[in-house]
Amino acid sequence: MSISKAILALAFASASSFAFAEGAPTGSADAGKATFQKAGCWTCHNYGGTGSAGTGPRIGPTVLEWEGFVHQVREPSNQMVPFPATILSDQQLADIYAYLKTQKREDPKQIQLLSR
Amino acid sequence: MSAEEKLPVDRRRFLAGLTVGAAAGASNLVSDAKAQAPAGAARATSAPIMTAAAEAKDPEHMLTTDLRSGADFFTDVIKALDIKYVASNCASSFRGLQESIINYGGNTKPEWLTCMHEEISTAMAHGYFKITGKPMISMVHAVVGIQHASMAIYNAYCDRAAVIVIAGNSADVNTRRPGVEWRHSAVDQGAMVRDYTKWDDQPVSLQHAAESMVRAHQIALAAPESPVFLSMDSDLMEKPIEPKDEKKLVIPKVSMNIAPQGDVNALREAAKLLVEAESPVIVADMYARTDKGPAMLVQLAELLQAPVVDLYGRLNMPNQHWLQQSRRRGVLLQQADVILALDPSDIWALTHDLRDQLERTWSRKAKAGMKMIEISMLNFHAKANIQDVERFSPADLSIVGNPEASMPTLIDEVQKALSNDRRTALSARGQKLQSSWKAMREQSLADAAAGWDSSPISTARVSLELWDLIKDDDWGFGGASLSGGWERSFWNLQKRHHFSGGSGGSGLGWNLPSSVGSALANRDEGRYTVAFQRDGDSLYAPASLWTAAHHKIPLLSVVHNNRAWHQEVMHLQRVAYRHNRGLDRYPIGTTITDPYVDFAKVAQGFGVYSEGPITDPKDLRPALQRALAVVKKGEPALVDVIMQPR
Repeated sequence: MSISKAILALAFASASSFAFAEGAPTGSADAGKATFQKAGCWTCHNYGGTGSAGTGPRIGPTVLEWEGFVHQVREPSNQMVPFPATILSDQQLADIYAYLKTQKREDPKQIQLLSR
Repeated sequence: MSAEEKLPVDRRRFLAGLTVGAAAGASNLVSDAKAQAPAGAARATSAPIMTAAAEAKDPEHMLTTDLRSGADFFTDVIKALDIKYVASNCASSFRGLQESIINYGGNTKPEWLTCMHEEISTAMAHGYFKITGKPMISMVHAVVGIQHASMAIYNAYCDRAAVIVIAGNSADVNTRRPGVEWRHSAVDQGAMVRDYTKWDDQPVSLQHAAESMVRAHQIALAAPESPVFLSMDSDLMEKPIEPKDEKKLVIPKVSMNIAPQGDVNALREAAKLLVEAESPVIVADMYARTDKGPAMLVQLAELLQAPVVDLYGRLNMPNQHWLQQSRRRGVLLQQADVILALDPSDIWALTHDLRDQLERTWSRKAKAGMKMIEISMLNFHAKANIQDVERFSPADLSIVGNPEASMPTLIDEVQKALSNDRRTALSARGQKLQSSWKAMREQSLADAAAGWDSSPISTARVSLELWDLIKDDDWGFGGASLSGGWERSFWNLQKRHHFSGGSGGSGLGWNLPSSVGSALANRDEGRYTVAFQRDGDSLYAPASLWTAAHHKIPLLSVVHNNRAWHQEVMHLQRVAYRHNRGLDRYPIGTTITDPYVDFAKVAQGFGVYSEGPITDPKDLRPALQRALAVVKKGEPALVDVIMQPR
């Protein structure tokens, strides 16, 4: 995927769904959960990556392909803090990616206060 | 009967005592001075020279009087202004005024509110103004009290809030008590807060004090509204008023300001631009000053079929109206060909982005040819030192005036400029905007569902559980939004007591005392108040809770406890990563852990009913219900909820 496509994917990330690309390294969701906490991803995106207006969009579950995910973390196109490989290795990133994929998207129609 | 015969006994003794004492003192001083005058001194001084012997004499003096005091007269001035409350932490420098308000004035209009810090009393006055549009007095101690109040004065200044701050002072060195009273006196107390007050004075007579108080009231309420400051001499307040002087004192007539409207020709030009625009956007920030403001904005938006972006400096547009499209701010402002900005605090940010990376860069996001119309009082607010004027960004049509006062004329001009054909075209635009509103609503529901059952509890769930419990009541809202701004999406915000904006200056320690002040204003209208307190902010002035308990102010505080000054967590993280410093140290100095603060126990210590910490979302609703039951009985309550960081 080209950089421009990756940026395009990010721009529409909150509204669209993308298939995960082949070739993403194998990651451990358990290790990813711990790294998500230690690296402070939660500080902008909340625990579980549920997202918050103004600080960080929802990323759990992520809708990005692996390549776009890496690009956003290493060379963010917006206000996001960049995480170079010296801070967060490729393996740690793969773990976080695996963790975020395990997160579920709730249906507001199944929540009484949101379905009225 | 002569005038002197009419005087009460104490008064006659007082005058006689003064005469005897003064005469005796003068006689002794002169004789002592003569005794010590150097030989050959050819010219006599106009007053006797002070000597140790003279200083040792204690002239006869009176201890009591039935005469009115200067403070009594000043209390009458406050009453004439119909000011309901004086919030204060007691202090000797204004003891005469405090005594007069509670005894002579009967402690009603104004009523004395007991506070534990001047930052609390001033922030309370700020919150009270936001709901009522009327100023409260915050009375503060000389020098030190002003410094305590300073942060809250600054917030009120940035928020264009009318607050009257009165400080005591001991101006006369001849009567100043030795020691601490010198350290609590100053020659120009107004200088301490002059950078962020609109006007200040230090009256030297009672008539001067009366005129300055009425002037302060008028200036504070003139748009852009602002804090004002008076330094009140303690002798002036405590001394009795001589009958001959009493007859000369008058309270100036209290006349209210007429808000300045923008130039009619300029408003006509603005109307023409708006009617002809293909993608106009209305942006409102500090626009609404009364409950008429939102209704007029709805009328304008519907006429133009134009979306409104509410920046929530005030509640400018009812949030459930389909033209209130603040969540689409980014795309709307990028596509706009005409933007109407109503009292914007940062017009540059409407059309530009600044990226906070290692190298800060900015870019224009508005499209080429976009016309900016500004109706604002900002140029009357600007001061040299404080930089809250934000970055300069000239409008294409800059109209100086109170935007709410200008709205009837603008609406009238838009109606005149709208042809039938144009109305038809705008109707089609409106239908598209209705579709956008529905999509925006669906997105809000999806966002709110995220992490619904999670622990820490999501801010959306807290907001919606509370809304479900209060939505059928007469409720008010104090302080700033909960992170996520969910009340803007799901609550029904119609009037200023439903939402009145943030602190203005973003100085921490504001939200809790300000919401106590707002709740007091709401209590007087028969409604209770809810507020979301931030944990870090609440630790600046937690004793605000005691004032709420003492004065039985019905306020439900729901603490957003993320156990951090969370914005600073993100800032420190940003800089650490930027410099490749690693992952593990950003919590140092930014988090509130080890030990955790138990806000429920803190509240109990101040006599406030409390619940928490609530960590399981299943426990949230029952806790809120129990706390609301207390609030509905007329007392404050607090629920500490461990929430998601944002």
